[in-house]
Amino acid sequence: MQHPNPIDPYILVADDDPLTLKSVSIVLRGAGMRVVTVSDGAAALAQLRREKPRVVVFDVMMGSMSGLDLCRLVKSDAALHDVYVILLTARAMQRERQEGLAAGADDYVSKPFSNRDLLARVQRALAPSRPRP
Amino acid sequence: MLYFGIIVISLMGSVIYVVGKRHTAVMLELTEMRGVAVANSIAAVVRNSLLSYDYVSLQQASETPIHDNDVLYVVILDKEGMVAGHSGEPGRQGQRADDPTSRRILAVNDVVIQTLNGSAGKPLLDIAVPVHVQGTAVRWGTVRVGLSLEPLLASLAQTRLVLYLLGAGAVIIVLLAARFFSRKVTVPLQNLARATALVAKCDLDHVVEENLVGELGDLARCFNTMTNDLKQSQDAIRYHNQHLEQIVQQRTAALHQKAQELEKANAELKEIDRLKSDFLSNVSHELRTPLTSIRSFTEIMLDDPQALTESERREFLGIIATQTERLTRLISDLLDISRIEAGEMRCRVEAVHLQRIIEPCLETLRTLAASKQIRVRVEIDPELPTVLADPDRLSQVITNLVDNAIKFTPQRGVITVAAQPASQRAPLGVGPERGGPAGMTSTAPERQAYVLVEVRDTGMGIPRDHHQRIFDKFGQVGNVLTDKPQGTGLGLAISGNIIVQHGGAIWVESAPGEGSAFRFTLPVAAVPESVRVTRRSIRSGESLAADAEQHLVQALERTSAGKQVLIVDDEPSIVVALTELLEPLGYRTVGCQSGSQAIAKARELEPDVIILDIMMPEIDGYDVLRLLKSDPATAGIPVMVLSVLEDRDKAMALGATEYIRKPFEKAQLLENVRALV
Repeated sequence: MQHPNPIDPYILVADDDPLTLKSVSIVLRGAGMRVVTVSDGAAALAQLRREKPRVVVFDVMMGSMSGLDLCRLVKSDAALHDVYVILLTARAMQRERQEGLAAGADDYVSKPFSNRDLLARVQRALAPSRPRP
Repeated sequence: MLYFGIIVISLMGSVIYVVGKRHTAVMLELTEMRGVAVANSIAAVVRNSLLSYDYVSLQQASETPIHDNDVLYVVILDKEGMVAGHSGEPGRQGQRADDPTSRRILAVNDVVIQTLNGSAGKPLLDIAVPVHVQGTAVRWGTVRVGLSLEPLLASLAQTRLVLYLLGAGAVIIVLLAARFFSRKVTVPLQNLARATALVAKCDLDHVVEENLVGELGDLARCFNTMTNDLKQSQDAIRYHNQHLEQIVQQRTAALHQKAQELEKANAELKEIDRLKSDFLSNVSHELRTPLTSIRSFTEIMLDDPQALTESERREFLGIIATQTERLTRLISDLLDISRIEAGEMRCRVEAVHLQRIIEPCLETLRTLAASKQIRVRVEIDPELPTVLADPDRLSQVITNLVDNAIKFTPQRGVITVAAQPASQRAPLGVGPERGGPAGMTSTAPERQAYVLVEVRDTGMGIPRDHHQRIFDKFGQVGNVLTDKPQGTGLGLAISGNIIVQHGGAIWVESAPGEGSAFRFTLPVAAVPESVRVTRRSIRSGESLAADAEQHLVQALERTSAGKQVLIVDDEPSIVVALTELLEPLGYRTVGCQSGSQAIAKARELEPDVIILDIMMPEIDGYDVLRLLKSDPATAGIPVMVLSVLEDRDKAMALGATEYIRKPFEKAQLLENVRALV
């Protein structure tokens, strides 16, 4: 496992399931990313304000604030709107997917996800071809 | 009547008047004729004396007829009008008769009859007859005879009296007859006429007198019958009208109610639909969460096993194992719910010692409790009777309740599992819409003894308005985005159903901040005394203890988990049809397709009811019935014969309890089965 490095891409992961947090962080850190994990919406918001991540991975169903609300907050915040938001959810109905995209999410991943797929999506979000503000 | 009387009286009066008048005239004429005859006879006698002026003879002659007592006087006048003889006053002989009466007599040469008033005003008839010379009209004298009219008048008065009496009698008789006639004919006819008028005005309560003579009576009876019939038909019409109105009202109300019910049902269906959709979404979430971990950690281990330390590998495998376990439990819960939905949840009850169930359950949960430093206390009454329960299902309920309690109790909390005897199934009003504690209760007949089990925690408690929802199949769903559910929320729904199936009740008492107490009751296992005694008497010599225990279990199974019905029919489709009819209603059914099998099953199972076909190969239904009734062990089982034959009497004589013809009506069959168990 690599040590966190300030120049590594910084990813914020929010999920109330500790096991998901654990596996996601193992996968992303394995790819050389700096990962911060939080287990609810309020902590995620605090962490967002503290340091702006390149990519966020939000679980939709969380205790105090849903991932959808977080996503809306991020996209409506002038300082944060360019943060790439990946919604991670066990609610895989088509309706919910549309709800997520309508909230401004950049990508949407259903649980159970493939580690490689998730990693690929995060890496694509970090790719230099992506227009930078 | 009055007019009639007047007419009769006047008619009668005139008749009497005419008859009286005529009688008077006739009598007067007769008297006159008699007077003329007397006068003529005197005239014949005195003619010569007059011619010879023999006054002595004339005086004698005038006095001779005085013997006739109604002759008042005889006066003989000569041709000059001098009195020649006077019966009453001989002294007047030779005097001129110069009174007005005499002058009228002498003025006419003919018979003169005058009515005069004599002395004392008594009426008399004066008859004067001229005495002529033989063969000429030369008047030689006159003979006057005075006849008293008194006897005549007296006789006439008498006659008139008789007539009046007769007339009065006749009038009275006629009036009486009229009165009789009127009473017997006119009045009833008038009554009838009046009654007819009343009937015409729709007054049908009027009854006319029927006790009348002859045809009038018949008429009155016919009339009464007619009004009565009319009244009855009118009443019937009125009743039908009212009834019709009532029916219309009822139907309208029923329709109204139906419409409301439909609306409500529709709303409920929509709500259920929404809940189901949320439920599915929730189930999907719950299945995906452990699956995510399993997949993720499996991939991590597969991708680069060498990069992981031994302890990491162990940790990840442990995660995979527990998540697999979680998934398995979830799937098993889902299967349970679908069984409950389909009414296929089965419990095989037996007499169970609660300690033996509770302890192992707690054992598996202690690690979980210890991880939160939660203390689990057990308070079980040592004298606790055994309960009727399916041990596996009971373990499931207790595990679920304690697991929930651990989940909702913060660090260092206390959970208490207690059990004690209870005298009733549930406190008043358990169940939805009944105002009591939220929960579920069996509708089976209340029994005498129960055991109350309680799982109490010191957790956060449950708000009152959530109480009922937590027993709902989809109860835990709620706002899935923010109220992170702990599991699918199926556990309590399943536990509730299990308890209800056992004939008990389950409910919750809790308030936010005060912890929660989940309580449930189970019926106590009691051995029916009679069953044991019978058994002993039948199978003396065998191991009574083992026997009693085995029988106890059988008896318990019988009393609690639905009644057992043995279906005997050589036609498999009938067995299937009856099974499908009875099973959903909670009956346990056993089918067999031959007589010999039926007898063996009946002895082995001692079912609550046997439904028996008659026409079967080898041993037919009648033989089965005979054999069943001759064995004391099976003689008491009610047998419902279900046959195409129409020989109820034979089956009943052989001891059948009920006889139903094929093809049967479902409702009738169910009703009879219900009545028999």
